[in-house]
Amino acid sequence: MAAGNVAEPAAPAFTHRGMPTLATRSPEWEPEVDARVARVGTRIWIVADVFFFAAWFFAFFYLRALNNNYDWLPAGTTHPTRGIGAVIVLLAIASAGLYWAGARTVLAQRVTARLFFWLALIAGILCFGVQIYEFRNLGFDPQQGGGYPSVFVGLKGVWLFQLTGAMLWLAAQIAQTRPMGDVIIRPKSAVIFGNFMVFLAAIALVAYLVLYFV
Amino acid sequence: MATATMGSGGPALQASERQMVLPTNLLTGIVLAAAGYYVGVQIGNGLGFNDQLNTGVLLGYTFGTLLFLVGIGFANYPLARLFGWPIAPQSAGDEYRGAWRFLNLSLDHKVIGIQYLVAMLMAMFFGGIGAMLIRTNLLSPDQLVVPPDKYLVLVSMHSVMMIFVASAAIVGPFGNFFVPYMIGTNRMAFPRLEALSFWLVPPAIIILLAAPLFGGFPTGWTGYAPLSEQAGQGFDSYIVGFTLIGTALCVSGINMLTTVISLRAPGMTWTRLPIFVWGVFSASILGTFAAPILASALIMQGLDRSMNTSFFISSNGGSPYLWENLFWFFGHPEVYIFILPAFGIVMELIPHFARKPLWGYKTAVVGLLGVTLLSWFVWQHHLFVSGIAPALRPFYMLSTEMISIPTGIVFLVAFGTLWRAKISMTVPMLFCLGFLFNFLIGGLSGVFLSDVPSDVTLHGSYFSMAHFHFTIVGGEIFAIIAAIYYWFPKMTGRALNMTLGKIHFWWMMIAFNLAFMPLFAAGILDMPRRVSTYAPSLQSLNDWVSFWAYLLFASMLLFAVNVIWSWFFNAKVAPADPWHVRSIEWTLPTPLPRRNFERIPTFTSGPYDYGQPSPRPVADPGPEPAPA
Repeated sequence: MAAGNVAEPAAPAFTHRGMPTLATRSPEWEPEVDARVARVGTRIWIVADVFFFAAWFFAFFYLRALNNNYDWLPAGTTHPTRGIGAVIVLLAIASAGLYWAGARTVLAQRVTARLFFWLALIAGILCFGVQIYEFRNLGFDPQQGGGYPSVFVGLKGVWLFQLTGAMLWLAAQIAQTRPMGDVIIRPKSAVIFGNFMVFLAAIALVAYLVLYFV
Repeated sequence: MATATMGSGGPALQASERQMVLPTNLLTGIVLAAAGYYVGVQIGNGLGFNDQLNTGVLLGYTFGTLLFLVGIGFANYPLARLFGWPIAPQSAGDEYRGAWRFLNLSLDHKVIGIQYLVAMLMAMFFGGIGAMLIRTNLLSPDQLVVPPDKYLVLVSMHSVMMIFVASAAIVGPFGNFFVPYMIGTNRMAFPRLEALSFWLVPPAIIILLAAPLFGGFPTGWTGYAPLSEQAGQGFDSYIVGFTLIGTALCVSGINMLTTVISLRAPGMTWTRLPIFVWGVFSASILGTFAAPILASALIMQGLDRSMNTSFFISSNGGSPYLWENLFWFFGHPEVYIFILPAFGIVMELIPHFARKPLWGYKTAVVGLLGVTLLSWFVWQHHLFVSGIAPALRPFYMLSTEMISIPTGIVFLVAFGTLWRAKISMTVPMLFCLGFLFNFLIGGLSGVFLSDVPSDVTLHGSYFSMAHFHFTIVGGEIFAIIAAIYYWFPKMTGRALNMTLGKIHFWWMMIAFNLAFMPLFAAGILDMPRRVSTYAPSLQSLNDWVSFWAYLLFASMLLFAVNVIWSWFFNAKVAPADPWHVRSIEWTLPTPLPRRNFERIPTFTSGPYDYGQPSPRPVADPGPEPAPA
């Protein structure tokens, strides 16, 4: 193939299948640059996620206002238990708060930070578990129709999906708190992930207020 | 275990040579995708929902795509993090060499740009085949090629494929390739997201092409309920394919916005940013924030079709209008995702070939950002005939008309730059001028359609169809081709044949206008779009259109011959700067070195400072490093 004017690179020092490889010194990959990039990128991602969740809240209020065929809340449908919803929110907030606290001590007190991260992960897993429990004990069946049941399982479902992703990343952060791990080398980038955790907790709170009280 | 030290001045990072269990490459990706599809279908069908087996197809496509990405190598980095392995936070080297790297996961923005270019051209070819079948069918007032019920499926396939192309055909190839050069950086902010934005595209195209195997989707590109609720499994291709494209738009936008905000070189101030970068930047704003709305709406569609929820089913408490609102809240910004980077290309190229500074640079930026802002406030004009509250119509009519003001600014800037210029009529410049002519017609007919009375009359007719083809084909596609002629030598090291290029331009310009201009008349004469039959009195008009449409397609084949011959069979390497322009990418050698800049440059002047007696160089490459 005569194509591709990208000159052949020198053989990298290390290859790692499908992964970026270690190469020569390059200032554009310094931790400070990565921290700046992570800070800006995370903020943009959070705003994009606001739009994502806004569609679900729009669906809630739109269908509730229309109440087509009087089927917003079909006969016999009741709101799920507020107590369980509150537990989910509190666990999400606890997970975000613990991560936030841990990320701020990661350089000075690595062991403490690791402990905080573990506690955040446990809170997140518990949150996941309680949400699954709630799904199995809704008191209504979304397959029977109704605007509210549809929005409830949809909104809670996509939130749970994102929480799962966040927990996986949190687990990866714990793994990288070993000496010379990525979290230690790039602590500012690690702190920034806390913004997303806080965002997810905030969405959980707003969803709780909307889905259980409106 | 081999180890190395990375970084300068920072803590040492140990690297290991651990291998994943499976080799990650394209072949593994394809095998895993097939397995994932099978497993997904089995699981979905096993769930036992009363869903006409949609769950199986949806999960099959989803699992197939996820495992394809795993096979390509996207799971390696997160898994390495998860297992606590040492990781390298940089994308300095690809494992593969030569042509093979274009078929595998690469984190090099140049490789990704070329991957995008090839994929987009191929997708455009598939979409073009669909167009030819449509025009062949319309040679007769009655059905000719496909039966009426399949005609809408054909139109849907053509439209969705072309929407895929139009969404990514500028930011993908040219944005990824040239933005880092233009802002003076050696890296993208998130190379993995950049690569992911590309590798979501092939599964999306394949899933879309698979739709006819399941009966296709008779909804057009808008996917309106209740047609979508009634459609067979073919519509599941629409859901998953469009979700993948939306995800690609979003992650590409996050990467591009972060790169431009965070990684500009010293001296590359916001007011020196090349106007093409501004076009990509403003389109990325829209892609990043509009695509999540689409993703949410598509997930709702998926839930309706799999779990039997009722988001869009009126009789069960849902509403088709919910889809229309969510879709067009994404869909109208989407059309500006198409055109804003095209504006960027045209305004980038015109000063170079007019040898004049871009007239009203800051005004042009205001125009681009004005379109970006206003595009959020116009979506309900698509619902004029759907029965929105009459009180809302004047606002959306006004907001839609207002958007012609920043668009007009872009034209003002272009013509202000051309005014009294010594224009070089190169092939890229010809296509830019063609863009201005075509888009003017498309834009003016858009203003006409934004009025409620004319929209209500013409919405479902060929007038509307001619309008958006003048903006997308006559506008965006002309800009894309201008960009290919302009940047091809830098991207591939080979120059396109300019004699063939000039023939291509005139052939395409004439065929395009003679094919699409009569469709305004067809629309005024009440020919409905998306319908396979029409009044016999319109046959001559349609035969004329089909004839010129064939010639338009033939002109693209000539272009394809030029590209393939020049790229693969022309041994002559293109000169480093065949156009003699100021933009920084042309100051670099051809072929481009692996590392963009040996030293990060300091920008000292703008890229359009032509006509000055002793202009400063656009960038200072920086001092030579002191000997060790």
